[in-house]
Amino acid sequence: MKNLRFIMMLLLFNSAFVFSGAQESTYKEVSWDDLMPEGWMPSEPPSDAAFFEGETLEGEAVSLPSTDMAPVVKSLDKQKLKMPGYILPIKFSDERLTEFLLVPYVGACVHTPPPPENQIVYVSLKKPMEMEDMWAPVWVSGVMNAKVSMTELATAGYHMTDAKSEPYEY
Amino acid sequence: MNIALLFRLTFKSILNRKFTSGLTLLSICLSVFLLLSVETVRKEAKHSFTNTISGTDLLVGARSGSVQLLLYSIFRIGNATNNIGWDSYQKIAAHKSVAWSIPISLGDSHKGFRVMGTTPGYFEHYRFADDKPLVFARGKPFKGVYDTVIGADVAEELGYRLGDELTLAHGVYDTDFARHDDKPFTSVGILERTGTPVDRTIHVSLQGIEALHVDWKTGVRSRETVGAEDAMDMNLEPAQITAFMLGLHSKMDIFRVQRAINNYKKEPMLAVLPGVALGELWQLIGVAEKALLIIAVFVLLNSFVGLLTVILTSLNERRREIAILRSLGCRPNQIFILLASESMLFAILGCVLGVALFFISIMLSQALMQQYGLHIPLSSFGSAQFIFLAAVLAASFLIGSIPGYRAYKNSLADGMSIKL
Amino acid sequence: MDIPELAISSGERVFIKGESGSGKTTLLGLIGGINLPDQGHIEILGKNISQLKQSQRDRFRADHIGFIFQLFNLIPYLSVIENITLACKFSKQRTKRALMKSASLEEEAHRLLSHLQLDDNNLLSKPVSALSVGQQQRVAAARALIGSPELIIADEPTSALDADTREHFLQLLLRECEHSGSTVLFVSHDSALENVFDRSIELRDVNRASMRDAEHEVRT
Repeated sequence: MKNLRFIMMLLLFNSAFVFSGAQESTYKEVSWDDLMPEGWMPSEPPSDAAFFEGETLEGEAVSLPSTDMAPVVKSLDKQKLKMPGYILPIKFSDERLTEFLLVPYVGACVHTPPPPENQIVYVSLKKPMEMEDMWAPVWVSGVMNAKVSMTELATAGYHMTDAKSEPYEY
Repeated sequence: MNIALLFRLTFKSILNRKFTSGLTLLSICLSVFLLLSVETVRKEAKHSFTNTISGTDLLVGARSGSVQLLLYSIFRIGNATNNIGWDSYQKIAAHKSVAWSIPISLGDSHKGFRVMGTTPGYFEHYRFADDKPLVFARGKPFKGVYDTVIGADVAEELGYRLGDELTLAHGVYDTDFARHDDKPFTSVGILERTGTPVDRTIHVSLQGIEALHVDWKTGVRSRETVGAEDAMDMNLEPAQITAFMLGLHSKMDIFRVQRAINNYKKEPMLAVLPGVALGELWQLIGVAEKALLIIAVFVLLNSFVGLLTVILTSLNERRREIAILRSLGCRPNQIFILLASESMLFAILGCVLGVALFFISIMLSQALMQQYGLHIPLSSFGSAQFIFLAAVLAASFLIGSIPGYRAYKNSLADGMSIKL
Repeated sequence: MDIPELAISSGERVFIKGESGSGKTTLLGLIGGINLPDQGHIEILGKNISQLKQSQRDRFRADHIGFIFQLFNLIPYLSVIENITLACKFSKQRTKRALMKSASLEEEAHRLLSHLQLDDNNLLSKPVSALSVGQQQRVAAARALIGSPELIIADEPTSALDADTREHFLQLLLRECEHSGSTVLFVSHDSALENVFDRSIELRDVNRASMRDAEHEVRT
């Protein structure tokens, strides 16, 4: 009898641990580095001048940037991930934010050069959220889609769906 | 039963002092109105603004500030400082990362409404609110040089129907010495209401804008005017536009395209993400918003201080009345309620009147608000406003406790005799 | 105030004579249940009111005692009739008794007023401040009488009236009190009114404290 009781307690105890652990590990925390494939080095993008012209101002011909987008880490596809970053709003619904770009640093749109495509995540929120402070860092958790190329329904690159965002606490 | 009796006594007491009561009530009514209005305008302005544009990846104009670009190109508030060359636009629009582009040209007006030159692609690609497209209530997009599509408010306020003629004016203000009266336009389409500045816009083709200005090349109408018919035969490809919108194939390209445009050596341009520019706009406005709210709260507090003064002053005169009530068996805590409820009664009446005034003013100022791109429906009474009203009532009870308590103490000390 | 003993029987009409400072205010406060004695007790209608809590005393006063003051008896923002019926609003007992005599409180108020010779309807619809002092006192009397409280306490009710009105008022008041069988405590400094009462008490004689003060005065 006593043994049975002891085993029951042990089981209960363990299951409690397992459940709480499971809750926390539902979303796997990743860093921006994890979004770049092993061994891939980002290359310096061609100068902006060449983007539209195909030649620099001085008249030097430049090969237009190749259509290859920076590669994604395929194993991250369909994973539940959690990562930190900064918000660049894309879409609102009734003053609430529904879609945004998540980038590794503030002023991603100002710095030259901009981050490569595998350092940008396009996030679709499950529930629209109020935007309090635009420049505050956040944790974003959701289902990551890592597509190599674009389809009718999905953009290429990293797209996190069913996401939610919370303030980033130091 | 006794509470009802006390409220009735309070009510009659207030009625008896009609003049002072009326003024105090007016003061509270106005403060409540102010508080409600500030909150509503703030909320609706934000709502109107965020609903105006959707689905556009980049907004491009001559180099200026990003908020300024957003304001003049989308909200038609303010003016551009410079234009963009047509060939720069074409080069960028042709890039393989671009899915669609809409050029726009601003600068003319008609009876207070802005004229915007664009391509028929505008009606196809422009989205607002939750990715809603533009819908034609009547007619179709422009085709001819002198065709125009007008927004819902333009049609309603000026009473235009399909086939009506419009004379456009040069510049943002419409005065008769600057009109293009030799080249009238015909309305071929009327858009359904969107609740955005689109409703207040008169859309024409870029060729139409060019035709208008064919003899304004020197900045003033030249002596040798070119007739409407003749203008149509000329080369009407625009040399410049004010701004353009871009939709890209992949959101991942946004930054690269944006950087490339910003650093385009042949022309100084600014490309912004509309969402980011909106966010910056809110930051700017945010401080003013909070300041306005604080002021409104202070105005309300001021009214309450006035109310408190009125009640406290009357307290002395009412000591006799309170003694009489005591002699009839009225308890000290009932005396407290009698006085405290006076403040609450003022607050309740003030709130009712303030809310009524609020709704009336919304109804009366619809036209004025739309000029600023605001759209405030009568249903605009949300949880924030209810919370404000509840706070007003709670505050009034606290305020009322002060004379209530004094009367309570007095009634115990005075007994039934006040030597007058 | 130091009164070793003071007893008044039910139905008695007592004239209490007191100059100002003789303690009549304190006495009325004690009887009315507003104040409590430091020592001793006060019994009214068989109840020891000095042992009751404040709210109970207030209730007792509402049910059993009617007051008439010297001046400013009426509440300015209520009508004449409302002033009278107000007394019943604080007492269910008095309401019940009033309704035994008339169909409604308002009717009862009118009935009492006509007994007090105040039934001009024009007058009754005016604000109370428009009535003469004599008329106001009669309204106050009606209020004290409505619902037949057992004890009527009148504190100098005639001092603000002129000589003719005084007698008349007293007459009407006492006649009504007799009808309802109430005990009357009539406080005044005017001895000319004494003789209509059953009993006359000099407060100075009863209140040891005022006697002591008087001694002090005499000495200095």
